[in-house]
Formats: sequence, structure tokens, C-alpha cells
Amino acid sequence: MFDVFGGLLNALGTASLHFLDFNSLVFLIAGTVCGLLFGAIPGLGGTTSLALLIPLTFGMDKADAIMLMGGSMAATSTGGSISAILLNTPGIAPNAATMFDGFPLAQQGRAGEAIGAAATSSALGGLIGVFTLILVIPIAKQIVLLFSPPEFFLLAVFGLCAIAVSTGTRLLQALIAAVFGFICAFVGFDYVSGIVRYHYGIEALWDGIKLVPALIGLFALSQMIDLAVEGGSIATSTTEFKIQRISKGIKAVFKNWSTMLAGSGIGTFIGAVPGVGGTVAAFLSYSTQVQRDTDPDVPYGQGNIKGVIAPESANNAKDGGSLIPTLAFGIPGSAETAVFLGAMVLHGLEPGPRLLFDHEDVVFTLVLSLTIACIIATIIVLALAKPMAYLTLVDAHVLAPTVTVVALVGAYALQGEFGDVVVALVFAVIGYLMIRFQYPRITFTIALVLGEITERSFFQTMGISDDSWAIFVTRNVSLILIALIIISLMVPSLRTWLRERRKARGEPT
Amino acid sequence: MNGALSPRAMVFGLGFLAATAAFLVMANLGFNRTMLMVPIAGAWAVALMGLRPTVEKEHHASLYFAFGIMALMIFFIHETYEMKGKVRNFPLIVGYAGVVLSALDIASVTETTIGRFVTRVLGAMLDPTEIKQRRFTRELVVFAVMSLGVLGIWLFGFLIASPIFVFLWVLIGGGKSLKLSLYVGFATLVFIVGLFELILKYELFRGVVTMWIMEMMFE
Repeated sequence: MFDVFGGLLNALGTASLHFLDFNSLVFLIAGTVCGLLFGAIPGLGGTTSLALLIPLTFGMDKADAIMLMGGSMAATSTGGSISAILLNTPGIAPNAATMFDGFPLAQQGRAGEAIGAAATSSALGGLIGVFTLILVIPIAKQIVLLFSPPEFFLLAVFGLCAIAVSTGTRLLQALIAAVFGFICAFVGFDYVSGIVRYHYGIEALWDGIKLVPALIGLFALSQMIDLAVEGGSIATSTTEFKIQRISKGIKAVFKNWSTMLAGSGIGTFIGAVPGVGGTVAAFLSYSTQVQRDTDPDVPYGQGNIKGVIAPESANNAKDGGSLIPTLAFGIPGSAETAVFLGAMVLHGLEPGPRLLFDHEDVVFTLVLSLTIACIIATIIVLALAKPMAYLTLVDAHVLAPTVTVVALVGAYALQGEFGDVVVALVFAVIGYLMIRFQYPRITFTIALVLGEITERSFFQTMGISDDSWAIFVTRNVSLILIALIIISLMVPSLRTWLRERRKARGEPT
Repeated sequence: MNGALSPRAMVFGLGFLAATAAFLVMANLGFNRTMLMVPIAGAWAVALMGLRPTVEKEHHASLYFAFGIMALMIFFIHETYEMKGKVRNFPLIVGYAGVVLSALDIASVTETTIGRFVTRVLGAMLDPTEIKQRRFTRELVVFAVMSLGVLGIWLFGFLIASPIFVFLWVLIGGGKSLKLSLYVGFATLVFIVGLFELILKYELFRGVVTMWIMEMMFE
């Protein structure tokens, strides 16, 4: 045990050296500011921010790139709380639960208090999530040692199934999106056989579909198409923002520490379940708080400060939680972490269980980036809440062309090939069609990122077993994973059955 | 729509089977790929027309999309069979899984007994709060504008095309004032030049026409 935690402290020490470098700190702050802005402006979100940041990291040192992107990841939901409180429009989906009590507080002239509470609980929730991640990493390393190719393959399948199930009522479409993601991952040079597949004579496809332009198209450009098709302002308000008494909000978090702790616990746990994400964490935390507090001073939904603290601490704590499956097993816990994995691939870091062993310094750089970014984001929000609030009113027709151009430049800049701009455009259309017809993009992205590793694991498994499929059912860990896959695929049927049973009994569904 | 198949649907179903049979016979007789596209296209058209009456009007686009995906999966399997040996095993598993899933997806869109069963058991329900009535022409205009933007960048490069693209979108697409449009266009240019060319030292694409003009001038 001493060895495990001794190693942990050693890795933390090595990673912390990066933070002594001025340039690295500038990247972290830049990423944090970017995350705050993209989180605060409704319609953009953290995934768009990460997709646009990836090209900027090309040529950067691995650690600097991780710090830039980690900063953005940590700050998005903090930024999103501003528009939720002031405009009753969540910057990103997980901030929706903050609106219930945040907006009534703003209507009562207590916006500053709500923002103070949201920012402080976000920071503390984020720190608790990251602290849990640090504690879990040594345990995860021991579990990873039990895995070999059949388990890696099944783990990828399980991850996709779990995420597909978590998309709610669109399991079938999520699985189709995953299949499509695999198909795209097969294009180009096959490292197993050494042949070039599905390229149709197009030279640009010989190296496969490049991840970065594809991600830029899929998340940044498709979102802009969606905004442009919808048209109009993202948020309309002519209200003069009155932001005062922020310190009262900060004090409220410490006064209601149990609410913040419970929210952080829920957030971390939910975040660790692949695909469930911040929205569920925030709503679950809010509803748990409402149930726990049987005699509230102010009714929930009418401006109770605890109704801001509970969801905000949960949706920031989930960042640390969602990195547990991402870093330990290579299964992204959310769309953001899926794009983040894409960035890691760009920097030569292979996502998967070996990451914890081969690049421990990178893992801890990310952990520390999240920690420091949480604090920086809170300081920025507390200091600049008012000017940031006006940014949320930016018009869709100003935002869409500007982000489009920056995204296209980003797609090109990476390798200086115009073909990448075309790839980004093609994936923008694919991404938009997926939004329009409700095919979740997250499973597509995960399959695209993990396609090569999954195929390699399958090939190695078949090689070990002499093409016998029995290998999957003769190993304990494989059997557990198969059981988990089956259970996860049964969830929608089970959900329907339970709903119908309740309906038949006349209970609320 | 009580779930039972109408005689019309039965006729189209048989038409689909006939087209499939024609495909198999032609494939066995060694017809080339282009000729095989005829029964495939026929089967697709018959299946689409047959299924249309069983689908709510607002879900017609979803039906076409699901058909498109299934076509892609079949095409992928066909291409995978061109490969030899064990390397095609995993892509084939993925492709066949895709065909089964997309067939279920098509079924889920229909208001039939099978469709309702698939929706219930596999969870394929369209979220009513997410269904947005979008105008197809508006979508086409946005795609066209984006494509023209990329074409403009290819012809004239980022430094010329980007600010013009942003300016025109804000002015015409957004109906904003000339002053604001000019300001946003210029700000975008300053941002991309400042960040990408000056700070990150990337040389942005200059455009084929611009490069040609530059070459002519220096010659």
C-alpha cells in the first residue's frame, strides 16, 4: 500500500513541476477562459470548445496541451451557471437544474448571491471530484492488470453499450452511430494486416479519417449549422444585470456544507458511470436535496440558495468522476472526454488501460490542471461576472460565421492540408444530420476514437484462441463484462416494463 | 393505423422480395456491380413506397435517413468482401450488426406492430421535445453557404475569403447593420491572423487564385 501511494505522490510531484513554468500556466489560464466563455454562451458548450482548441495544441508540448484542454474542461460548467442564473437559459445542459432556484434568486435582485454560491460550489465540487480521482487511480491500476486482449475488446463493447443506453430513449440509434463510427475508423491503413482499406483511390484517406478535422466538423461546425438553421438570438434579454453581494453566496456554500458535500458525492459517482453525464448528476443532486430538506426556509423553485449549491457542486464533481473510466480503461465518460481522448491520440498517447502505466505524468498533469482550473474559473467568475453576463446575449448570426471560420482555420492549420477542411465540412453535415435525426454523436465519436484499438484487441484475441470464440466465456473477467453488456442492453426493456407496471397500478410514472 | 399490414403494403413487400431475388440471380450469373445497382435501387424504391403509408408524415424524413444508413451498411459489407483472409472478420461483424440494427431502425419508424415492439423493447423513441420542424430549404441554404465559404477559401485563401464570408453572413443572413457586419468581419480577420499566423506561426492557405496571381506578378 505504501508503494502504491508513494508512487502516486512521486507522479504528483513530477506533474506539479509543469505548473512552475510560466508558459504552461498561461495555457492553463487560456483554456480556463475559453471553457468559461464557451460554457456561458448558450449553444456552444464544452465539446465545441475542446474541438476548436485541439488544432492549437499541435506542436505544443504534451503537458501544455493537456493543461490547455484540462482548463477548458474544468471551467465549462462554471461558465454555464451564469446564463442559467441570469437568463433562465442554461449555458450547457447540466446547468439546467441551476435555473430552478438560480433564476428566481436573480429576479429577486440576488443574482450576485446566486453566482457567488454557484461559482464556489462548482470549485469545491470540482476539487472533491478530482481528489476522488486521485484516490481511485492506484486502485484502478491494480484492476487494469487483470485485463488482456479479450477483456480490452469486451470493455470497449461494454463502454459503447453503456453509453448507448444512457442516451435515454435512443439506444438503437446510439448503437447504429457506434457502428458508423467503427466504419469510419476502418478507413485507411490497417495496422493489423498492413493493407490500405476503403480509400477509393483518394490519397487523403490512406492515413484514415483524421480525427481532429472530423471532431471539429462533428462538434463545432455541426453545432453552427444547427444554430444557423434555427436562427435568431440564442438568448434574448434586455434586462440590466444587477450583480451584487457575491460574498454572501460564497458564505452560503460554507454554511450549507452538507448540501455541497452530498452534491459532490453524487456528481463524482454519476460521472464515473460512462455516458450518464453532468445533466443526470445535477438533476439527481437537486432532487435529492429537495427530498432531504423537508422543511426548507424558502420553498424550492422560488429562490432557495441550496437549490443552486446542490446541482452546481454535482456537475463540476462529475468531471473528476468521468475521468476515472476515461483514464483507467480508455472509455470516455462523456462527449467532452471522448473529444479529449481524440486530442490525446493526436499527441501520441494511446487511450486505454496502459495509459496509467506508460504516461502517469500526463494523467497527473491533467488531474492538477483540473484542480487549478476549478479555482481559476471561480476567481474569474467572481471577479468578472457582469461583463461575462453580457456575452451570453451574443446573436446566433454573429456567432455562427465567426466560429465557423475559426473552426475551418483550425482544421487546416493542423497539417496544412486543404483536404482536412473538406473532411471537417463533410463531418459537419454528418454531425448536423445526427443532431436532426437524433442519432447520438457520442457513441459515434467513441467508436471512431477506439476503433483501431478495439479491432486490434479482437484480432489479438482471435490469435490467442486460435479463432475460437470460447475464449470470451472461459475467463472470469470476460464473463463479468459479458454479463454487464447483457444487463446494459436490457435496461431500456426493463425501464419500459417498470413504467408500464406502474401505469397499470395507477402509480405516477 | 391499427398495426395490421394493408394489401398495398403486402404488394410492396412482395415487390421488395422480387427485387431481392432478381439481385441474387443476377449476382450468381456474374453481372457486374453497376448492373446489380438496378435491382438494388428497385428494391429500395419499392420498400420506401411500401413503408411510407405506415409512417407518420412528420417522420418521413427519418424513414429516408434510416434507409440511407442501411444502404451504407450494405455497401460497406460488399466492400469488405473484397478483402481477403481474417482481416475482414471484424469489419464484417460490425457491418452485419449495422444491417440488423438499421433494419430495426427502419421498423421502429413505422406505426406497425413490429415498429411499436422495437420502439418499446429497444428504446428507439423520437424525443418529442427534440423534434424540431426545420425547413428543408433553410437547411439547404445553410449547407450551400458553408460549402461556398469553403470554396471561397480554396479559391482566395483564408485571409481574403474569411472576412468576406463572415461579413456577408452577418449582413445578409443575420440582417445586421453594415457597420456591425464590417466590424465582425474585420475582427475575425484580426483574430485568425493574430492567433494562427503571428502567435502560432501557421501559414494559412492562400488560395489557388491568389497564388496564381502572385506567381503572375512575380514573373
